[in-house]
Amino acid sequence: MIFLIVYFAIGCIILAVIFFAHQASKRPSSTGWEEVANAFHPERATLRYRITTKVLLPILTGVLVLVAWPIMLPVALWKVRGVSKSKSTTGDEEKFSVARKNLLQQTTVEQIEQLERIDDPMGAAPALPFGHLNAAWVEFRKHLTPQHEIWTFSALWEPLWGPKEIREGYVAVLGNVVGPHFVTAIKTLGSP
Amino acid sequence: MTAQVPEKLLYEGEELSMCAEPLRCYFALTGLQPDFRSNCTALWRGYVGTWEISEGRLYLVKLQGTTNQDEEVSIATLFPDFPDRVFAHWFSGTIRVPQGKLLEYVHMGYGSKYERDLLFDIERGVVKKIELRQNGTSDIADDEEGYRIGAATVFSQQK
Repeated sequence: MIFLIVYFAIGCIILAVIFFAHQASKRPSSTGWEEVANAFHPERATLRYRITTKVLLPILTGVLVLVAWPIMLPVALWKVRGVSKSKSTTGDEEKFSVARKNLLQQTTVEQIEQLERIDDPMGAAPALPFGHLNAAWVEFRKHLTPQHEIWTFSALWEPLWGPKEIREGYVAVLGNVVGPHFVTAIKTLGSP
Repeated sequence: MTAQVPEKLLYEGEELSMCAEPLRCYFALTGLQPDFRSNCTALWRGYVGTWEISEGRLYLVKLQGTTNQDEEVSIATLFPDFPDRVFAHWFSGTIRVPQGKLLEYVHMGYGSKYERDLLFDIERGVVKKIELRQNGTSDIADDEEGYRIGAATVFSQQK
């Protein structure tokens, strides 16, 4: 009897570990994605499908872990490992950054502001450096110190979705550190 | 994915269908994008912009959209000081304006092929080149001309 209690107690602990690891590794739910998935697979919206996936399957999985936890132990370890790994890399792969090889030419803030001033004959843009993007430029300037060098850059970027892009703009360089950057143009590659 | 509703382009007194989204670039550059509501598979971006080429420059002259908070989005929402006309100096790329009869329907994005493409090469909002590309001739004599979307799914409003 004691053996059974200990066995199921360990099963409960492993079940809890898998549950919390699963919750931690889940991406935030997106209504938009749900709508897309439901549009392609209308059966997803039925009550039967929802009961099966949201209630029956989790219960059956829980029972399976409780009863056969020695077999599920590797799953628990894999889940925990996955969570710690994802926490150390979340967002890094998706973030655009400028590398030293992307640098083109050193310049100055004064030169940039003179070159990038927008003058529209119809007055449909602020007569300021970078026009409608001026607020972003002002924000970029806040990061600059007198020690920073300013360079133009051009870099290839592969977004998660859509075609490759060439991104151009200005980047601050301090010693070996390249960044922050200010993107002024995004050119999509490929035929229109 | 579904064929997408195009942007509109006013050019030489005509309203044309424009298969490019210069605002996407603006949103990417500024990081500022309203939470547009999309309730149709033919309009994932959730808005339609009307553009004009005037004096060799590209302008945004109208914007229609709604946010998920039920707020109407217009040019004034994005550019409060320029509610009527915005010079799209942030945009560089090619704008494709399909013309003529349909040659090949592709139910994805702006993939459909038409008899002609009017191509505007834009550099920082300024038109550098205009080119007419011939893609072929339709076999269907009485087919109607212009951009079209085969089908779309409209979602119910969720609050």
